[in-house]
Amino acid sequence: MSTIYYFCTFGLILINIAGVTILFSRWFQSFALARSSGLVILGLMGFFTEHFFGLGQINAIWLLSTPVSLFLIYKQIQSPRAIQFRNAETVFVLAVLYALAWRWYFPSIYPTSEHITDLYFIGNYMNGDQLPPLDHWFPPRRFDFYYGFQHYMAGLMARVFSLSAGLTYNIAFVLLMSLSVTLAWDFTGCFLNNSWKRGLIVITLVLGGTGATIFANLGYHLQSNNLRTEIHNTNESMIASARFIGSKDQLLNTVIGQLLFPKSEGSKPQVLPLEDFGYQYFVGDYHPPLGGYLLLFLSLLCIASLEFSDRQHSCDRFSSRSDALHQTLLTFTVPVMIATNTWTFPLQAVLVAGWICWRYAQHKTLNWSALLAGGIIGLLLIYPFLSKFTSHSAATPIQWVTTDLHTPIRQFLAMHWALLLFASMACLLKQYNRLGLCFTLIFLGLLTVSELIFVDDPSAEHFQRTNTVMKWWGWIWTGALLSLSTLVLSSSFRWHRIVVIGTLLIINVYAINIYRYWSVAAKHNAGQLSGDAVYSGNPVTREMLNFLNTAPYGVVLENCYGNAYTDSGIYAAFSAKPTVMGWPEHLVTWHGKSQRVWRLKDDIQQFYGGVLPNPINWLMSHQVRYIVWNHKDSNQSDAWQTINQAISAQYHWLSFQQQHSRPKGLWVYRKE
Amino acid sequence: MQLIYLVLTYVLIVLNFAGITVATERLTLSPACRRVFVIVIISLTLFNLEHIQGLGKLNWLWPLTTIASVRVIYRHHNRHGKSRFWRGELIFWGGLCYALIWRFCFPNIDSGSEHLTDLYFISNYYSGETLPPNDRWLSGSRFDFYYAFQHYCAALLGRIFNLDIGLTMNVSWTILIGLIASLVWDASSQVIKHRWLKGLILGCVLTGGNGLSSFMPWLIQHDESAQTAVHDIAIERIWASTRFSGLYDQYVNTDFGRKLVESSSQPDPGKRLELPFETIAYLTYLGDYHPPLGGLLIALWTLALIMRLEYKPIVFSPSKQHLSLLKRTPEWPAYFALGLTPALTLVTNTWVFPLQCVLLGSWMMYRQLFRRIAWFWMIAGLLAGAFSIYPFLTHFATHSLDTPISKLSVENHTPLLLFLTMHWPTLIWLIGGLLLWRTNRWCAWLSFTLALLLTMTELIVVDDPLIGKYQRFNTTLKWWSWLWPVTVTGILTLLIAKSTRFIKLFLIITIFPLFIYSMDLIRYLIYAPKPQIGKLSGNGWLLENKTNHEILEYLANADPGVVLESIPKGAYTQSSALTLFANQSAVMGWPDHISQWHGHLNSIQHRADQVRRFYHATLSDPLNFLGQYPIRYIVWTNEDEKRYPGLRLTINQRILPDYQWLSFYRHGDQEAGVWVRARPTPPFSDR
Repeated sequence: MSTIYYFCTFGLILINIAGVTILFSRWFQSFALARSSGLVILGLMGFFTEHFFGLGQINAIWLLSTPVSLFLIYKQIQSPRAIQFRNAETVFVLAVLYALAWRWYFPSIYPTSEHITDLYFIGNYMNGDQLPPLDHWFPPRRFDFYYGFQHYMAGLMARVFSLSAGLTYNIAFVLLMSLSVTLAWDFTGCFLNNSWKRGLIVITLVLGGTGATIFANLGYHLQSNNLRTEIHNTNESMIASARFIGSKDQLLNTVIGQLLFPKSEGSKPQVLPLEDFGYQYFVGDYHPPLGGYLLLFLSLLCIASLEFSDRQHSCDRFSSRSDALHQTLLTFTVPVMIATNTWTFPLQAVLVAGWICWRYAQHKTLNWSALLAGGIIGLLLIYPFLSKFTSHSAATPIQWVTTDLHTPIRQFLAMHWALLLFASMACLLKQYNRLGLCFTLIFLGLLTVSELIFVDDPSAEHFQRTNTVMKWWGWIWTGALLSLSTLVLSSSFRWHRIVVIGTLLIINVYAINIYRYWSVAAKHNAGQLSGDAVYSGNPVTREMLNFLNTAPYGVVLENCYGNAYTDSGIYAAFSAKPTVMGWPEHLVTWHGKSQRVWRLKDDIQQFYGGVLPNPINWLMSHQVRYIVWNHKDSNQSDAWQTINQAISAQYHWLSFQQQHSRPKGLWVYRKE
Repeated sequence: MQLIYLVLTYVLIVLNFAGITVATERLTLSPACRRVFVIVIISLTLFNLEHIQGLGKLNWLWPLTTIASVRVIYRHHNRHGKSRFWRGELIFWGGLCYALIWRFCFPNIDSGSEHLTDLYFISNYYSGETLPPNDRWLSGSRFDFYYAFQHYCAALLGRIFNLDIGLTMNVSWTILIGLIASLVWDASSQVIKHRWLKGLILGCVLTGGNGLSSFMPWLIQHDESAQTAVHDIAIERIWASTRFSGLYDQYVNTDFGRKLVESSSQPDPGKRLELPFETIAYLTYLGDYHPPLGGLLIALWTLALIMRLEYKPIVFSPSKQHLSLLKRTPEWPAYFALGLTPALTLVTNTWVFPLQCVLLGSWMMYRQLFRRIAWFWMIAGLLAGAFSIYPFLTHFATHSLDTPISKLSVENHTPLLLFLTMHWPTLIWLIGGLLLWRTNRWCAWLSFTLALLLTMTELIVVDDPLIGKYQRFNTTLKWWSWLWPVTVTGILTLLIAKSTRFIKLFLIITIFPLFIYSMDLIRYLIYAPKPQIGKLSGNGWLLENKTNHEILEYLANADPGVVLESIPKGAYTQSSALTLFANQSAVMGWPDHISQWHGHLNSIQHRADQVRRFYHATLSDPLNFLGQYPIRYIVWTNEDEKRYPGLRLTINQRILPDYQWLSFYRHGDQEAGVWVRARPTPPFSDR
């Protein structure tokens, strides 16, 4: 039954997105651009408006928007651009199917990577309160310290289609990745006519690894004795390409591997990962880099469309209006990046500014009003968000990369060789007004900058540069791979094309890792898109989750099992409710070594141990409405007795398991 | 990132101001006067309306007004070209930038001076409740005893642009200085053509010192060999000329200085009258968003309006005569605006209300005697002003302090030599002005009026609760400080404009010594440490302590409630800073200030005493006290932990039934945090 529901939900959402696409295709030639820009613009308008007043539940919208979308689709099918529309939708649906395959077989949201964190981010926005919303991990604070625009978009979708938090997570992931793929496809279309060439580039983005993939595969041989080690090994090989420098390069065990990358002696080397676009499918985090990729592809497609428009030499009215809109959209992406993925905001600004300077130097027409308008409109739309975000986000001072922190040259070349190869060929290209040189300067310039400075966040020692590099290199690699390989592949020199195809095929060796992973990884939660399969396998937990999902809004108290990546807060996250405190380590990172977090952690653990003095007052002062007592807590039956006795005047016990020796259930506040 | 937000905020505000200036182009006023006129009309109207019904949050307004502003500016561009628009705005923006440099370097809203007091005034109006608002420094009372219209305007700005309260105060301060600069320029533009002369006058008003400041290097000399930092010397000089008599006069170390001090009839330096004389430059250094600045703005607006009417009257074309009253009197906005000023002064800075009345009355008399006056619009303005502030007056009149005027006794007069050194530029210019009776009658009339007012400051005093050496403190502080920029803008401008080259040169020479003060100001600006640079929220100093930061974040996001903070001293302490920055109400702010404003009521002393005893754990029935106000949050900072060692646990024990201790800091036995009322507060509300 759930499959039918998911099918209908996807159908509804795709119909509505198609409606938006058609609506915005009046202004943009590319349907992919119309689709993505339409969603971003509508979302940002909602984001802006809800900073003034929350719109609450808006699930009536789809009842109106769906017939309108169907009508628009019907009209579009009869229009002269029907074939282009059909093709664009086919690409989108194919991209959705690929992403959905990942989420369908691996749908679980559990404490790995940032799954739970992203689920909580989405939950913050699901209430429809005035923004910034209540911080579900640290009430009564507001969720105003994080760039959560893409999570707001997911929350908006959940509110329109009445989705649960877990399902929203999975659907939003699928859609966001797919939108990026369609943009990449259309970008290649501006320079290449052969579908197989375009396909090769897009497949490399989606299935390919990094420059280090080939070295990781050659240098890292893992013995598999049984299924368990086989699963572990395939998992490791998936990670190896991204986490090569400072991590997997120290574990290489083949002759080639050890010859090329001898182990570093002395202090631990810096961990410098490159998490490219394709890697995100495997990680499955609905994390800000995804939004960053979307905006990167959006701006690249805008640039490509403008260059393509130049090549057409068309001076008609539509063209000039369309050029102005593309330029507006191009600068619009820069401020939107602040609210989406602040880490890559400077990079996005350099990309856009770089292209403008290059265009200016070429004495090509620039619509300054349109460029300014895009930036200003974007800034104004995120202005209400900025007012709180700028004063509450963690400080990120810039530091110089000292000699000992630089990337070792071998590893650097191993990771980026493909990019350097594309760049060296692209800068020689004279086609498209030397656009290749422009992209080379921008992306290589940014790569150089990443070796000179880094953002000094709380990570220390051999993780000092990790966060910066992880965010920047992934963006640079993906942007350069798409833009430079497309341009070089469109070169009139045959050897250029052969080298590029060869390089792309080498990067695509990662597809073999993906295949291996898919063939052995456990898929017993397949199809449970609500994401809670890891927990709902236990009937008691499932029942408790269901209860909380439908229960009125209120603070949930859950035990604190550790500092991060634990099962603390999962009941609240799946039911989109606030918890007294989320993962302490994350909170400390965001709120700058908060002492309050550790005090609160002590209090919670004391409460669950039944030793917190005056627990009723403590619960009331934190406005707790639900107290979870799950199978992990249930082995402390003495503590349960003590707590129940102390709080029974204000909280009644809702048992979800009849076995009284190991009670499992919830205490719920008695309403006066 | 914060810089992006700040720039964007200023762009939005400036755009809106430009929009209202352009939209009201038809009013026959100069752009600078028009800008103030529209701000005054909007604020006065809302001030009146909100006494009937508070309008709450207004942040939905700015997107609409910004779109409207862009539209009118764009149209204006198309009609008149860019240059006219820019000319009108440039000086205002220049003044704004100058002020912003100051606030950007020194943004703290701390316990020094009246920073926190001004923040408290603003916070009263910040919620947008029906006026008079709840008193945020004395929960349970109404804030109706103070003339805080300028703070209402600031809060309005904060409410419209959704600014943090500290940012609201800093931004409002910069706007106020920007408006003052634009008005001084505008007034001098009516008679002076040369930009450098206008710049000189503007520089004198904004950065110049009083007469005494030009002698200061020869009154107190600093030992060059001593390891005193440059900025410390600058600070001392900035203070010394404004607070010379009764405070810095004891530090004189030159013959001239000693001679000056000996001229006083009071040999005991501890008993010498304090006669402060503040200039805008000093107020810039101080950074208070205090009523004197608002009073000056109104006075300078009055002068700018008068200058335009006197020297650049709008030529009325009879061929276009129309029956409409508005058309027959093209100068009506100026008359109407002038009519508003007494009421405006009353609610902005009551202290200078008599001076403003004398200035305006004198001009009206002059017009009646020698020229024409549009009585209709004048009276309309007066009535409109009175009508607008009437709801405020109904509360203010009964709750503000009585301030009877007394005659000044002989021993309280300023010693002649001191008076001359303080006011020598004023005296020269006033005499010069009087001499122009034949050629420039208004200049002479104004000089006579201001001379009369200066004499008045030596004859009478407002008998406020301050006594002894502070008897004349508030009166001279307010009146002399008001007279100074008015004299520079009103008299010096006219003298420079209407005199021969030789006299002009002489007048310019009289200005230059005043720039000695500017040098100290610049030295301070450059060399003083700027630990909180760029943190325009003003609470950087408070948040340096991580526990304070966390407590503030907690209180700012917690449900509204009354907050209790300790009061270690009567005033000028950190007390209530957390509450104000968190937009909550305090049980008790600074007791000395509150007590003074309320005429030393016993109940206030009693409440302050209760708070002190609560923190000393000697209050007999703390729960009764806490329930009385009713207090929801009790703050216990790191400083309290040091100040009241071991008492936290005692207090906790005594209030345990109703309050829960939330710890925000623990190191050994040391703790800091907040007690939160756990019962009988309902724990949550349904959504």
